[in-house]
Amino acid sequence: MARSHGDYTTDLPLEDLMNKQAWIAFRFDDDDLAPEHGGPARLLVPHLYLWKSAKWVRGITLMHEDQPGFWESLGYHNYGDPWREQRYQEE
Amino acid sequence: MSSPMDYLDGNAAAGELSRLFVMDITTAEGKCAYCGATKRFAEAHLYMEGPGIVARCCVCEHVLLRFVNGRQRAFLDLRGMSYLCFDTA
Amino acid sequence: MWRVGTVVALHDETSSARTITLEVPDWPGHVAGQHVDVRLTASDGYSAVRSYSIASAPNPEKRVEITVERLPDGEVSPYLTQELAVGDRLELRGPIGGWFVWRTEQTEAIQLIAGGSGMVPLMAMIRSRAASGSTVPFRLLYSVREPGAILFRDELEKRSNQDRAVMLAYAYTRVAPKDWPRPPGRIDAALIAEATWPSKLGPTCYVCGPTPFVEIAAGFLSACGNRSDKIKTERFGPTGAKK
Repeated sequence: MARSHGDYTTDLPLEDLMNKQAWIAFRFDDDDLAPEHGGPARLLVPHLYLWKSAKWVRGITLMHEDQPGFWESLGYHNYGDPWREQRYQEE
Repeated sequence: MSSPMDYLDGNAAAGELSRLFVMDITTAEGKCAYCGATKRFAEAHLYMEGPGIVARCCVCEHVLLRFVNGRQRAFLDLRGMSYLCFDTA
Repeated sequence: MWRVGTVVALHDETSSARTITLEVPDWPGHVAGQHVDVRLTASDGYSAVRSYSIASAPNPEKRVEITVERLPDGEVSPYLTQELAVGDRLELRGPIGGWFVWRTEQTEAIQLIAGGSGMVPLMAMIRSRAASGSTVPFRLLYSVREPGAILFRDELEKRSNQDRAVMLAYAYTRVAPKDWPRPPGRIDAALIAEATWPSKLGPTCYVCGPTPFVEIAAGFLSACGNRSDKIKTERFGPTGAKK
């Protein structure tokens, strides 16, 4: 579970963060990452929908069992693969 | 904490929420479940740029309301408010 | 829920803002300060919704005017201000909002503070006052970047100088007219103190514009002694997703 300032959370399988699939971005264009783009630090997971790329991230909690995050618990898809159009939970 | 000054207010969400609420929500008084502040919904800090609507308390910034408009279902979470009070006179 | 309006008139207010007059056959009427949501749908089904304040006073004809500012990287405003033509139709939802409104039954002094396109709902209030014959004292502080950006300029001149319907003060943030007594700059406590109703009059204050402007102006009003329940605010801003 990626946790952000302001209580935003989003859940991801650990495998999706590994092997250079994801970034913690804190600089852009020779500058510190601006707040409106998620600075001081944000998660970037290009292969999943954008809400998984949590802005203003402050920690990642490793869990044994999955728990839905902020939007996943309100109708958004738990995984979020854009290639399979997994935006919302199965309707 | 969210981006500085990147919010609107409860007025901006009134159109979307009018699909669910028969009465005008902007004049409804809500009590923040976290800090207890009682304010009109029009005064809430409104974030609409993400996957859904998030209303935050203008005093403590805790989440008051979340709304998602899915393809065939809409989700509403009001747990951030102890109540929403509408004038029915 | 969604009504269809037909464009019957277009009027350029400034080089970047246009007023669109719509005829809406089933319009239920509105109150000054309310807004509409406008929905545009592309042929592929993609739709975008934007909120625009109603600029016109309540009127018995089924007419609704919105004044749209063209945003440089907007998705909807370039179409509305440059391509929409008389005879075209628009989907709208509303009228919306019951808090940021001025009703003709109100008797207290009114203080209006506008930042940029925040002037639109306040103009509806000024027009509503005029149409109803109300004699309630109205005062307006209108902050703009430069003189060319003033919306409803001629009408505001007329209403303040000729009709004495509203006391009017401008504040310029980037470029001021020649010989303007105050150098261009953001509104500050001194300006608010001198250009608004004294708080002991108990005015209801309406502040509208971009969020930072509203927060600053409302803060100064509060510092001048206006109670928070007498200060009503409406924030404008882009609603496209920021990545």
